[in-house]
Amino acid sequence: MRTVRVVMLRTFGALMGSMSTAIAVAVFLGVSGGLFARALLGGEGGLTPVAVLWALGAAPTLPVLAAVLTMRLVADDRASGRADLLFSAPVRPRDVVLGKFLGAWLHAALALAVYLALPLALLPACAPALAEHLTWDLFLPAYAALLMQAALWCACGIFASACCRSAAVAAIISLMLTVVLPTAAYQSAFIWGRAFRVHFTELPFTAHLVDLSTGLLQLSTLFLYFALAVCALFAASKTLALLQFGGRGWLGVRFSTACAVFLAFAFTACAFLFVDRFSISAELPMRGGYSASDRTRQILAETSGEPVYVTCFLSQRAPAYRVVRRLLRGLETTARGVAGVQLEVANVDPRWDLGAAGRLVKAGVPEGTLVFRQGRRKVTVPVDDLFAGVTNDTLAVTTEGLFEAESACATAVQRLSVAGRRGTLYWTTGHGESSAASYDAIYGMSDMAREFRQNGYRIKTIDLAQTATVPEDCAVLVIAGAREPFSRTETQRVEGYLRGGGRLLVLTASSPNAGVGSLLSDWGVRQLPCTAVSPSSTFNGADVLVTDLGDHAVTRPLAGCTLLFEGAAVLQPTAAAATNAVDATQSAAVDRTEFMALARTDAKSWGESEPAVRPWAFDPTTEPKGPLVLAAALERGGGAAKDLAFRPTRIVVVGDATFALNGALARRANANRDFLLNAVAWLAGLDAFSDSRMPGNVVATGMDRSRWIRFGVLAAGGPAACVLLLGLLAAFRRRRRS
Amino acid sequence: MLEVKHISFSWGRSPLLEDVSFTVTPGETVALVGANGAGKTTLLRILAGACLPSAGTVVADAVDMLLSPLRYRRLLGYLPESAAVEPGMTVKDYLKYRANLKGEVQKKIRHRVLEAMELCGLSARANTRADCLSQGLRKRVALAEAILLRPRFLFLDDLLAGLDAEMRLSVGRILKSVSSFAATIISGHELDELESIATKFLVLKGGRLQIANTADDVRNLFAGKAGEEVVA
Repeated sequence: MRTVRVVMLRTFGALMGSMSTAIAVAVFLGVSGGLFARALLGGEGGLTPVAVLWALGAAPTLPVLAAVLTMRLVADDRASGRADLLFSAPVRPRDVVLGKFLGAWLHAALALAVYLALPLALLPACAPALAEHLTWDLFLPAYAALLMQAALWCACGIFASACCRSAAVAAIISLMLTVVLPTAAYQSAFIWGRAFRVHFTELPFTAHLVDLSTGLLQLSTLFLYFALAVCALFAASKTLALLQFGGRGWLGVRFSTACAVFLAFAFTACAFLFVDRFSISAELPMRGGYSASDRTRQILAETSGEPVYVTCFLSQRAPAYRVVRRLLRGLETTARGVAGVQLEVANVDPRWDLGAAGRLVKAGVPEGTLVFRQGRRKVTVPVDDLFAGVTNDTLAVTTEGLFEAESACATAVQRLSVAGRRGTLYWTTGHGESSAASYDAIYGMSDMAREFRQNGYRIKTIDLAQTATVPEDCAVLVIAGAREPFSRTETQRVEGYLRGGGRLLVLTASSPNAGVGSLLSDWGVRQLPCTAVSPSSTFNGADVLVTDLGDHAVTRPLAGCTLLFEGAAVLQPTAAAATNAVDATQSAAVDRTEFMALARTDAKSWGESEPAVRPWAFDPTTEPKGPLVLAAALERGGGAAKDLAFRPTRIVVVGDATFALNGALARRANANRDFLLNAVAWLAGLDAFSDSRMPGNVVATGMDRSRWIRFGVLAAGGPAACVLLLGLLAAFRRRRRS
Repeated sequence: MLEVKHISFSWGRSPLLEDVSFTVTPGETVALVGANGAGKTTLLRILAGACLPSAGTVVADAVDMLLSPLRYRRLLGYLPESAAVEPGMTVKDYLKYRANLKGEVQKKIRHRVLEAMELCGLSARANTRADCLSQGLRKRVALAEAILLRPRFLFLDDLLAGLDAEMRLSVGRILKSVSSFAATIISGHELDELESIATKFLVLKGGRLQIANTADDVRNLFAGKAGEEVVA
């Protein structure tokens, strides 16, 4: 052990004093910091814990750092002749290899510790709202996971370094072993291996990192990293020992060494497969774990009666299993906390629980389904549907998916107690409207349509050019971003429907003449020929974040939430409308339309008349100044309806055709989905308004664009500059010695 | 006593060393000479344990290098031809590191390092970076490293190459003092200097070993073909 310690300290000291290592660590910190800032930006509004984003920021560059740290450790000894000195000392090759490995690993651990300063020291300065809940212990599992990966990469690097005399070649071999080969093998298997494709949706190394960072310990994963690292070190020490067998006549030794290394890897593979079959795992009690949304809490609190039994009929090998398990455990805990209905969760693995699986299959439940059962009522939710709303990127099935999956589960619990349909939404067609049946990831509206269906609405399409009247069973007529104007006949049919107490939801396109613009003017709202922009409340410069929500049934449960508009039209009440509740009370005429602003921009915003011309500049003579109304509710006959059996006309206008497209809903921490659900509920006359479904532990940095840029620059440059400075100081000190 | 028993070694198809056997007694200083490529460095590497022979073995004080390699290596000091030192370390730190690596008792390390530096005339350069020294001084550092733990056997590969006259004289003095505790094998081409240091010569020629008592005997051995090259 003494040799190991001496070599480790020597290696660590040499790496600490090397300028090239300082540059490598600085580059690692710079790139990782940039990736972390980018991941944080992308994870805004998602459920991926910050610790996972932090770990994923370092994961791509960690193999490169390990390759640079280890490339000289043995190769230089061989090239300079120091290997002879090493072998003439009373040391074993394996002790030397282990010592060098530990020295490099220690250095990588130190670099990762510096990288840890980003979320713990820099984030509180740039995003205090987010950093308020972040403590160092939340990052421990992620740090341990990165250390585990660093150990494997360093071991591979040592092996590569032992194989050749050139440090550069060693680095290339190391990168081949740690990056190119695994990625190529994964991609090949993903393309050609169907069975593999079912089980892995992402590179296993990434999946391991996410699992461990979120506290899920799998014995097979831990064993894999440990065994592979040991194998790589074994191969390195054998390669180093082979240097002594230089002459002829040692072919047998070389062959037997190669066989030993091969057998070690083969044994590791077999042992891993054996351990993996048992799927032994444990979950760390992570503080700040799953936190359900207000909506889910509300649903669970309001649902009463017998306990709800949730059966997760899913293989433990399915990629979604880990996420679903986390979700269900979170819901179980939440249900206990809100003192509503009791939730009992059970897992049925079709590979192991054969009896229960057989009963489920006999009952017509396919594999990959969640079954919610209360008394004799049963609702099934396909697991695929849980993640249907998320984009298929790396994190889709692992963590981001929780966001939508929780909502689907909550709705399923709700449907157990709420019988029947809520009404039919008629979706107009023929004017370039966004289609409820389109699954396009950006321009489709399938996510919102599925949300309506899950909440009990039926959706039908209607072509007003072909239909004389709007059907009587129409709960709400939806005009979703019509790009062409409605014909006179169609407008008259909508007008007739509204006069009879109809309910209309309009998502307006940018042109005031498109859709039913003229009709809306008669009903009290006008669309201005300008686009809302706000330099202070924006993510990417083009979108507008709205937090000023009106005191209305639609927006009241969404207090504190953010709506996201992009290229939104500015709405203005016409003279025919009363602009607030006081006006409406004073002029209580039945035919007087009450205008209520639902979403208003901040005071620094304005209506840009030429949005295509950049940079935008406010022209006070021609352009309206903020706050601007971007969404409004109109009601005519509401006052009379309180006394008479009179159905008031209700209209909700949203000045953004993209407001509820799949792309917009998937983007960031926005409450657009809940806003529309509440709008439809209000229009349909239902008293079932949703609180925000934003979970408690959602990533919300509260940073605007300029702070993002500042954080990105500091994250990428701050620690890197510090390390470079220290490296320069060390180099200066060394120069003085020489 | 160092017993070299029937050592053979070959690179590729051509044999480099064939059935080399000799003994070195304690306190003896032996010069190993031969033409370029004769196998001097390879033989010393084998003796130092850096390379294993294709056949034969070496026994030092009844310790077989193949059966007890670690015990064997504790008995020896080795100065390789390249005289490579660890980069970025001062002379003192480097010697401390090597003493630690060789398993010297912690309490004695400081004394050993000071003694080796004193002996090799490196005390003034104790805090200078070893890899920034000249070739000659680096050889002194490597020599200090080789004699650091007072080994029983010392193998010095091409020690005199690249040293100026003054330094060669001081090397002679060092080796004389070393001979009190170690048997030394020193390889090189400098017959005159080696004659003043060594008690006998081992001559490698055509893979075979021959023993000569004086430099003139060595010159006679090579008189036919490569004598000038050997004499340098």
